[in-house]
Parts: sequence; structure tokens; C-alpha cells
Amino acid sequence: MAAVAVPETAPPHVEVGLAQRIEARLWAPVDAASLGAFRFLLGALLVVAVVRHWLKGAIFDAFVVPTHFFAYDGLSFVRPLPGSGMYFVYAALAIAGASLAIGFRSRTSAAIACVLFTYAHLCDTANYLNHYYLLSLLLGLAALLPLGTALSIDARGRGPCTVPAWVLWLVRLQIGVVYFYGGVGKLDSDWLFGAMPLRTWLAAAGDFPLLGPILRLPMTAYAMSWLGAAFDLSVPFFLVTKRTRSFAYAFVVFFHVVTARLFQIGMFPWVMIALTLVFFDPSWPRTTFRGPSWHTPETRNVAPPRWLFAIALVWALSQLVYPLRSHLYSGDVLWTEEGYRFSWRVMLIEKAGSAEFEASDPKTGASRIVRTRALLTPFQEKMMATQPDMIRAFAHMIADDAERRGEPRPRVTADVVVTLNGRPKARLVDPTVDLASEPWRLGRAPWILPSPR
Amino acid sequence: VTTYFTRREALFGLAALGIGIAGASVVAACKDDDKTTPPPDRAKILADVTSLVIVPTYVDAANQAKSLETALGALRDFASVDSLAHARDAWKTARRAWKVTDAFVFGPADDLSVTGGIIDDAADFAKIEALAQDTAPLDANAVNRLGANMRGFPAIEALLFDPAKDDAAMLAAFQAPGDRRGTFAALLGADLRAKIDAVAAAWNGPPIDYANQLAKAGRGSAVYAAERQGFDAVVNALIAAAEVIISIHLAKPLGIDKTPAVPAPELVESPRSDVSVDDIVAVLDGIDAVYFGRHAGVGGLAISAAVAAANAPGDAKMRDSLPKAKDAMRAISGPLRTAVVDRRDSVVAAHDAIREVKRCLATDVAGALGTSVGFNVTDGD
Repeated sequence: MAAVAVPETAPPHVEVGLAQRIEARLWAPVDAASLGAFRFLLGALLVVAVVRHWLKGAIFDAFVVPTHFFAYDGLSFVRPLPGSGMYFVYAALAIAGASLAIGFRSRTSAAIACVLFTYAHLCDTANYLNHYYLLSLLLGLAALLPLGTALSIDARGRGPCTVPAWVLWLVRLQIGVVYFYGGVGKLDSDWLFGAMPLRTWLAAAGDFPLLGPILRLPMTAYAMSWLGAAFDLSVPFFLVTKRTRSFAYAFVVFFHVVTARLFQIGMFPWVMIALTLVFFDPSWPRTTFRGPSWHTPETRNVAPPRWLFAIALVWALSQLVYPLRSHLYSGDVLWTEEGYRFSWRVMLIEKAGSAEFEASDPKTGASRIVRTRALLTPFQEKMMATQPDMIRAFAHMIADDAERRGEPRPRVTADVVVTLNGRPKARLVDPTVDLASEPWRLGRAPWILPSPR
Repeated sequence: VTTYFTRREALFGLAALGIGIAGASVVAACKDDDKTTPPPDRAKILADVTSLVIVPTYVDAANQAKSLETALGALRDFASVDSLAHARDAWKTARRAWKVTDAFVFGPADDLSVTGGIIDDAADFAKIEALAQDTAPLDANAVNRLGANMRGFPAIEALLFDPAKDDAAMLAAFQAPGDRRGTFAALLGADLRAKIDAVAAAWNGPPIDYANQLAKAGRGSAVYAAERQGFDAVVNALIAAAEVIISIHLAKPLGIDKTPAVPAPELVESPRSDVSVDDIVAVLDGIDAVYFGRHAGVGGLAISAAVAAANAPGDAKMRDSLPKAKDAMRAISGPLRTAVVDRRDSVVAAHDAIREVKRCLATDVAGALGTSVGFNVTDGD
């Protein structure tokens, strides 16, 4: 990336076409300060997340205790390091996060953090969280984009800096799609016309200070459902609109603080409160902390290469399109969960399941009941019991284990019953199908039974 | 984008949006027949389950353990047909009272690490018998140093019962010079009573006062920061209790966890006293007591009410499946150790019936209460 001087005078006004105007807007220099603050917050939150995981014993629980892991399709080679290896991964992750926060070799630090963080969370599907996915994406962006050009050790002593506007907008887009697609997911009959699953969760909110009795009322669940959907769908647009930005951000803070208190959603609310600051004026850190103006002759404009802009366009397009892939599958995505992950569907389902597996010798027909807890941790079992792809994966684990013991590969069937958003339980998968011989499919899995909705 | 609206227009827009949302949610809620009735108060449910079921059950267990200790002391002091029979009855009564608490194995029973020492179901009969016939000094300290597989209910059972011997032979062992067997049994009885007392005390008063910690979950509890966590503990304990019966106490003796299925009668609970069926029925009674919030004829606001408010068919299934499971267990004739070999169909039927209870708990009940995984944990950590 070349650093070029910002022209002191605007170019003479000439008539230009739409494409050129868009290009000019995208490449217009903007203060890099807010992206510097964003980078700092991203790195700092990563360090906090690592420390939190470490102190909670989550590294031990997620990587040391389990004997089996649910690999993502096509990524079965991604396994946790043996023994205490993952502690070293997390230690390195904390160092990379801290390095990113202070802006020391920012892009390299971000790339290392991205690889380590993504690796850790690809080891087991059971650990999937939407905000982990978001952090991986943002670290990926930080590895690609010039976020270390302000408020960083990398830029120490170099004076103010600008970056092309598209850099800022790509980061904003990444945050915005989380809200927007979160809202799209809420345009669902259960959410809007059944107030589910909020109604179930708020019934347990009687201990909320002062408001507990009100929160337990079904009417409150309806109001919060509609408000939540409207908030998610609209807040990115209110955040980019200067006139409404302050109100919108205040609402972001209120919304996330309330949800943090109501539900056990860990760091997600704080991540969003911190990172949505990127929607404010690009110079907000300078104005807030009375830093020097960026409108100086010494201001440098970091101009990323064109190929990076092309990658940014592909990235943006993929983030707009990929969350919609669930619509390519027939059936109810809340039930089948095909295309559910990586699509920003948050807080839409309350599922509880019971999964019982039977392994039978294909020749003799002799069968045995598989004790799930002998192979999985309670957490893995709970996650598996409601997610069809993990049920199929577990059937493969059972069969693979039998083969490793020198036994013939068994047929593995599953009797799985699940409740969805307060409905009576229903069978999730065909109990006659040998799931251990079912391959991964691009399309709808035929062994998933119809939704009770 | 940033200059299309004036601040006033933006505020009007936000206000209009708010009104629209309020209107839409009211319209949506109007289709709901039950939009203003709050669900049953979970704080009261927790308080009632704690004060009316869990604590009284532990008090029962402690009282019965005390009676067992007394009976074993009497057997040590004067071994006779009557004192042996009385000790056996006391063991069965205490055992049953304790097994009811298997429906809520959390809190002190876990924290004090006493559960294994009280109800370990893999007693080492050979070691217990060897110690009973040894000559090394035997006192409370010696018992205190014994492993979990030589203490508690199973160890006392090993001393009091043996289907391979008649009562006269058993009595003769207690009447042998030195009273060692009786002394050993009495020491084990005192050790067991002390442990159950410790659990009951931890639930029932300071300094731990666990009952109070659970009852005020989310309202100043040092253990449960949220009401939801207290509910999770109770419901997950119910599910775990059913799972243990299915996977450990029935599947293993039936041998259906292996291919080919080979019965393993030695793996039943309480194999010498032949109260394995009663053990399981007692746990089901415990699940029943917690779910319906009733004990010894006294009832309060129950988990059942909260489930019924959210998923009435689910509650109905629990009401149906629990008695059926108990009936299926009681329908097993004779000792479980022989039934898993000779009358397998009846045991398999009971296994299936309890599976249905577990399914209802893990799905209908947990789903209705939002306690299984809280909510989809892909939403946060």
C-alpha cells in the first residue's frame, strides 16, 4: 500500500458519470482514526474473551475433556492439539490480540489471531456461536485492511492518516449484516405471532430488578419480539444516518445491556456495543479525545491496491448472499437447521431434544443401545440432540469407533424427539434410516422428518 | 444518506416506527387467548420445591439413617434373629428414603463429595468380607479411611444380606466371638448417618443453607445468580436421574448396551437385598415429588404448573408417563437380578417406560421451561 499526500485543493468540478461518482465516493479519503479505535477494541475484546475462557475452564471443557469432536463437513482434519496444546493456542491468541490492540504489526497480528481463533472454533461444531463467526470475519478483515494506520504503534510518529472510504464501509457492512439478517430471521410466524421463544425465556425473568413481573407477561414478549425485529432490521440504517446515529447508538447500548442482563449471552452484547462505534464519524476518536486534526498537509492517505478493493467487493457480496442460502433448502430452517449456521439467525429457537442411538450388526441384526454420554460431553450431547447434521455425524462416530475396535461397521439408527418453541415434542429424524451410511449432501437431507410447525 | 432528513424528521420517523411496532405487537397479541395472564411464579415454585420436597426428603433420609444406625448398634450389642431382621428392615427403609433423593443430586450432595461414599453401587464384596473377618483394629478412623466401595449402603448390605446363605448362617457370622462383624456394621452405620446428616444439614441451615440459596435464586443467592440457573439445576437433575436409571441401572444389567446383549445380573443395584426394583421406584417417586411439588401429602406450586402453562400436552404426557413407568417397574416379578435373565420382557418394558419419562423431561418439560440449553447457545456464550 502506498502512502500518498492528500491534495490540498479539491480538483476542478467536472461532469462525471454515476460509476465514476461511486468510485470517487468509495475512494474518497476518510480519517483512519475510527478504524484505529475499532482495531483496538477488536484486539482488546479478543484478549478479554481469551482470559474469560481460560478462567471459566472453557478451554479444558471444550478441548481436553471431549474424546470425540464434531468436525465441520470437509474439515475433519481440523482437530484440537493433544494434551495442553490448546492452552498454548489460546496464549498465542491473547498475545496476537494484545498486539492487534496496540497496533504492533497490525495486519500480521490480525492474521495470526484470525487463523488461531478460527482454528479453535472449527475443531468442534458443538462450539459454534454466531459471535465467534463474527470475530473470525472481523479478524480476517483486520488482516486484509489497513486498520493499523491510526492509534497504533505501527503509525507512531507518522501524523494523521486517511484511508479510502470503502475500507470504513466494508467494516460497517460487516457489522450491519449481523443486525439486518438477524432481523430478517425474525420475520417468522413464531417470533412475530407467537412471541416465541422470548415468551419462554421471559417467563424465567421474574428476578429482573423492578421489571420482573412485567417481563413475565405474555404481552411483554410480544412487544419485545416486534421491537427486536424492528431494531435489528433498521438499526444499521439509523446508525449510518447522521441525524439518527446518536439515538440509534443509545438504543444499541440499551438493547444490548437489557439482553445481557436477561439472557446468558456472554460477551456478545459487549462486542456489539463496542464495535458499532465504527458507525460514528470517522474522526470520533480525535474529537472525543481532543486529538490533532487530520486535515493537515502532513496527512497521509494510505491507498490499498486495486486487487484488495476487488477482494473487498467479493467479500461484501458474499456476506450479503451467503446468509440467504437457507432459502435454497426446502423445509423449515428452524427445524432442519440446514443453512442455519453462518446466517445470523440469533435467538430464534428454543429447542430441547432427546436422542437415543442403536447400533446393530448388519449381518446378525443383533443390536445394542449406545450410551451417548460414554462418547460425548453433556454439552456436546445437548447440542447434538437437536441438530440434524450433528446427529448424522454422531452416527458416523459410533460406526467408526466400532470399526476401529475390529467390529463390522454397524447400522446406526437414531430415535430423536425434539420440542421447538414450546410445541409438543416431535420426531426429528427417520428412525429407520442408517445414519452411519448417510453421506453429506448439498441439498435437503431426506432423513430429516417434516417440521411440526 | 446523512443529510436527507432533518433531526425533527428523523425523530418523527422514529416515533412513528415505535407506534407502528406497538400497534403491530398489540394486534399480534390479540390473537393470543392468554396474553395478560403471567405464567406461574417460578420463584414460588423454587421455594416450594425446596421447602416442601427437597428439605423434608433429606430430613426423612437423615431420620431413617439414624434408625439404621440404632438398629445396627442393637445388632452389634445382641445379635439375634429379631435384631438381624430389624437391622435389615431398617436398612431397606433407610435405603429407600435415600434413593428418593437421587432425583435431586446437586448442591451439597455433589459439593460435599459424599454421594459416592453413601450410595456407591459397585461395592467390593470380597474386600468387605475380608475386612469383616480380619483381626486388624477396627474403629471409626479405620472406616473413615476405607474407599467408597467399602462404605455406605452397599457395604452394610453386604454384611446384612447374602442370598447364597440362609439366615442362620448370616446370624452365626454376627454371633462369632469378638463381635467384629457387628462392630463393622455399626461403624458403617454411624459413618453413613454422619454423611447423610451432613448433606441434610447443608440443605437445611447455616452456614451453607443451600435450600435458601436455591429458593432465592436470582434474588441475592450466592449460588444461583439467576432464577433460571436455579430452575436449570432442578430440571437437569430430574433428567439426569432418569438417565442414570435407563443407562446404568437397567441397560447394563439387561446387557443391551453391548452386542450381543448378554445379561449382567451382578450389575443390578442392591444385588444382595433384592430391593433393586424398590430403588428405582424410589427414584421415580423422587422425580414425581419434585415435578408435582408434593411430599407426604403436602403440595405447593409445582413445576408441573409452569409446564402446563407453556405446553399443556407436554405436562399431560408427564402425568401419564410417570405412573406408567412406576407400574412397569412394579410389574417386574421377583428380584431384578433374576428378572434380567428370566423375565427380560418385563424389564425391557420398564426400561422403555422410563425412557419415555426421560424423553418428556428432556423435551417437553425442558423445552417448555427453556431450561435445557437455556436458549440456543449459538446465540452467545
